[in-house]
Parts: sequence; C-alpha cells; structure tokens
Amino acid sequence: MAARTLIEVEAPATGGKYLATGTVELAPGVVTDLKQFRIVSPSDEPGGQVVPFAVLSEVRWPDGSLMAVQLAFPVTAKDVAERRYWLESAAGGPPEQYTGPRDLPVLRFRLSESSEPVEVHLDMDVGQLMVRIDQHPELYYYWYLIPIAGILGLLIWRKVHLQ
Amino acid sequence: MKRPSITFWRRLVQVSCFAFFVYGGWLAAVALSGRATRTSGAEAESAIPRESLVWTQGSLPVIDAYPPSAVCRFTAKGKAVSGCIIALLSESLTMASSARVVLPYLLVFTCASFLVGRWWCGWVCPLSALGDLFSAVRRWLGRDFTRFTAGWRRNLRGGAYGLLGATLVISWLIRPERYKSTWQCWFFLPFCQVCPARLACPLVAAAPPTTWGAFGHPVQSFFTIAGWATLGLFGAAFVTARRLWCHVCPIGLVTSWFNRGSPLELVKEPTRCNRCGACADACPMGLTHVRDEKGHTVLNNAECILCLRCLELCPRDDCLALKFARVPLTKSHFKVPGRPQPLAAKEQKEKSE
Repeated sequence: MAARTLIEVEAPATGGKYLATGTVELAPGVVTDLKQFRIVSPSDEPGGQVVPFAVLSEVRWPDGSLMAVQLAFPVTAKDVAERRYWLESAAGGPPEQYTGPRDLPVLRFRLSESSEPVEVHLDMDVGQLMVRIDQHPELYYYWYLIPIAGILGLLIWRKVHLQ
Repeated sequence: MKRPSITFWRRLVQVSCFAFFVYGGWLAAVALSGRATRTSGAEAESAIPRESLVWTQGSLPVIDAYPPSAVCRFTAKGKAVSGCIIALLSESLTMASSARVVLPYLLVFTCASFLVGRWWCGWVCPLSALGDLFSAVRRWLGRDFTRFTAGWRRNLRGGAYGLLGATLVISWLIRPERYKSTWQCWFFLPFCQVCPARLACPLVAAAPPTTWGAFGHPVQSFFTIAGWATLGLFGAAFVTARRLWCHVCPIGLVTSWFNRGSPLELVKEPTRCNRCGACADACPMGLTHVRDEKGHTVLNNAECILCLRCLELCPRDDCLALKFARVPLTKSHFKVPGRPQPLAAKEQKEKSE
C-alpha cells in the first residue's frame, strides 16, 4: 500500500447519505493491523478529516498480514461530488469506527492508481529501486581487450628483442 | 641433508595439481556443505551468489577459470576447475558467446600463459601427469622409448595445427543459425569428442562418462569409437615414446605461442657447455637445441615444456638456469655420486665457520 492513495467514489445523481464500499488489496507483510491506516476526507484542508469506517470482511496472508479488506464508510452528496478521499498510512491509534446505520444506499469506490507520497504519518519502510535499462551492456566487457592487447604486445616485443 | 631434486618437486606439483583439478571439487563440496545443497542443473539454488566465480554445476561447485591446463569439462564429479581453452574457443564460436563470457576467461588464460608459458604442460597439466604415469610403467617394464627426429616433431606440430584449425572451423560451421538438420548438433565441441581427456578424466575421477558407450546416431557412434581410439593412442604415445602426445595437443599448441617471450626463461651460458648431451638424452620432448645452442642464451622454444630435466642433469655448474624476469630461480650444479655438490660443500663450509 502506498503511503497515501486516492479513493475515487462514483458521483450519485441525487443527494443524501450513502455508504461507500470497496476492497483494498494489500501485499503480504505490509499491514498487520487495521490501525495502520485510516480514511481521510480532504474537505477540511490541510490535514483533512478522519472518516470513520467499518470493516465488512477481511482475508489474511499465511503470515497473518492482511490480504484484502472490504471497507465501508459514509459519504454525503457534497463529499461525493468532490470524489476525493484518501487512504493513508496511520501513525497509530485506533481508527475511527463507523457505528452509524448500514442500510444506506451503496456506492462502489475504487482505489486510484495515482498515489501521493507524504512525509508525515509514515510508519512503514519505504525504499526506492532505481532501474536503469542499458541497451548495450556487453560494451563494458570490451575493456578486457586492453590488458589482453597489452600482454600480447609485451609478448611480441619480448619475442623480437629476446637474445 | 640431501636436497630434494627438481624431479621430486615436479612430481609433487603434478600430484597436487592433479588432486586439485580432478578431486578438488569434493573438498570444495565439503567446505561448502550446507551452502550449495541442490543437486541438479546449472541453475541450482545456492547460497553463493550467481555473480561470484563459484556456483553449483551438476552436483558440486566448479570454477570455470580456463587456465592453460585444467581438467576436462566432461568430468562430472569431483573436479574443482573446468577450463580447457579449446573447449572455450570451440563453444564460443558455436554459441556466439558474448564478450561477457569470453573476454574475462581469455584474460585469465593470456595472463597465465604469458607468465609461465608451457611450464603448465610440464608441471600442471593433469592429462600429462597421467601420461607420465604411463611412462613410469614403461620404465618399470624396462622398455626403451622411441626417439622421433626433428622432422617428425614438425609433422606432429603440423598435426596439432590441423586439429586446432579443424576444431575451430567445424565449431563455426555448426552454429545454431546454420542448422539445417539435427545431425549437426552431434559435432558440438568437435575436438572434445575425440580428446582423451573426455574419457580419461572422468574415469580417474571415479565418475564414468555417460557418453562412453553412446551409439544412438552414426555420428555419435563415430565419435565414441574415435574417443576410445584416441585414448588408446594417448596411452601408447606415453608408453612408447615419452611425451609424444604433447606434440599434437592443441592446448599445448596454443600455450606454446607464449613460450618464447614469457618472463620464465631457460637460460644457457654457452661458454660453460661441454656438449656432453645429457640434456638431449633427458629431454622428454626429444629436443636437442639445449645441447646444440651456441649463440642465443634463452632456450625457450615452442616445444619446451620447462620440465627442467636438462637443468637437473646438466653436469656443468651454472651452465643452465631458470630465470623469471632475469632473476635466477635455480641453476645447474655439478653432481658426481660420492662427491659433495657445490652447494652442499658451501653449506658445510658455512656450518664449520
């Protein structure tokens, strides 16, 4: 899971309250506890507002970490029109538990592929892997020809000048 | 105390190198036990990084280093080093190996050959060590050896060039993009197919080659018969005529290009030579130039394997010397049974003082 991932919610045609549901898939060993992330509505910038969510179901990897979590959180027509929620890495502490009504109209949300790294609330190891594609890696090995040529040149010189 | 002879040291080096090349893999396996554990395939899993020089090939770790003389790649078990320059050149021509594969090995070979020339043949080569064993059997049987003239030796050397040339041409002709029929693949590594090491090295390593009785295809059958015939000729060559095989060995041929010009030199002081001929009699390659040379002082030529039998048996003080970069390593000393050698006399004098 990226440090901060955009949650996109389909805009409804009418106003009112809805329950946005969707599944968050996680790599093995990344998240072991739901306390490690939270959902933030950016309506009150800059820090955003923590949105309470409910866990509908969860599946875990063999190592105990979360494989997939089905979440639900309430949205209002105003929030949905903005379509901007964030799934964030949390610094700790219990998540806001949604205890409101669950018989609301359901909206499907999905995680956007675009994510935004943040410096704050970073509680997991993050690294960068720089990959450089070299179209002609063999060229570097031709440097071996220089000492080979030097030795052969010395050999020929010695053959010529040998007493 | 009697000083060990040069022959003693040479035999010691030969036995040690033979053990290292042919059986050293077992020692490496013991040392690396628990780290290289999978037992099949060159891609076997190992705790040793693939980028390092050692990896698991077959069942035991092997180093592909391609020194001038090493053990045959067909030795399935036990070997520590697999590196014949002919196999490298042949395989590289056929498979169009990349510079990443070929050039590092060529650098190793070039450095080693330049430093000591054909000294590898006389002191290190495990195949010639086997041959010397055959020669010992001949001496034990009390049989004389056949002497070959300089003309014969030239013809044998021409045969070595023929073998090398044919190997390289065939290897180039059978490269995969030229495949027109499957029979071409039977010619892969053409010299290896008939090299006595392909059968001899696995046999002495207690790992019989899987191809020693392969008769599945006419070409394969030809090479199986030719391989056994060459192995027989190899044994006969050492039993009847000392190092006859070394005159036709393509590996020795390639190494011989470095013999003259190498910093390891056999040097003669012509004014001290009485042309007694002891060197010519002792030379296992049948060379006479050490006796006949009057002008030039460096005696390295393409055929000399620097076994130093001439230096050991030369009866003249300081007539012959082995030098590395002009620094003397050893010299000939006057030896008569019952008479103290010059060096021994010197040591006695130093002790008395």
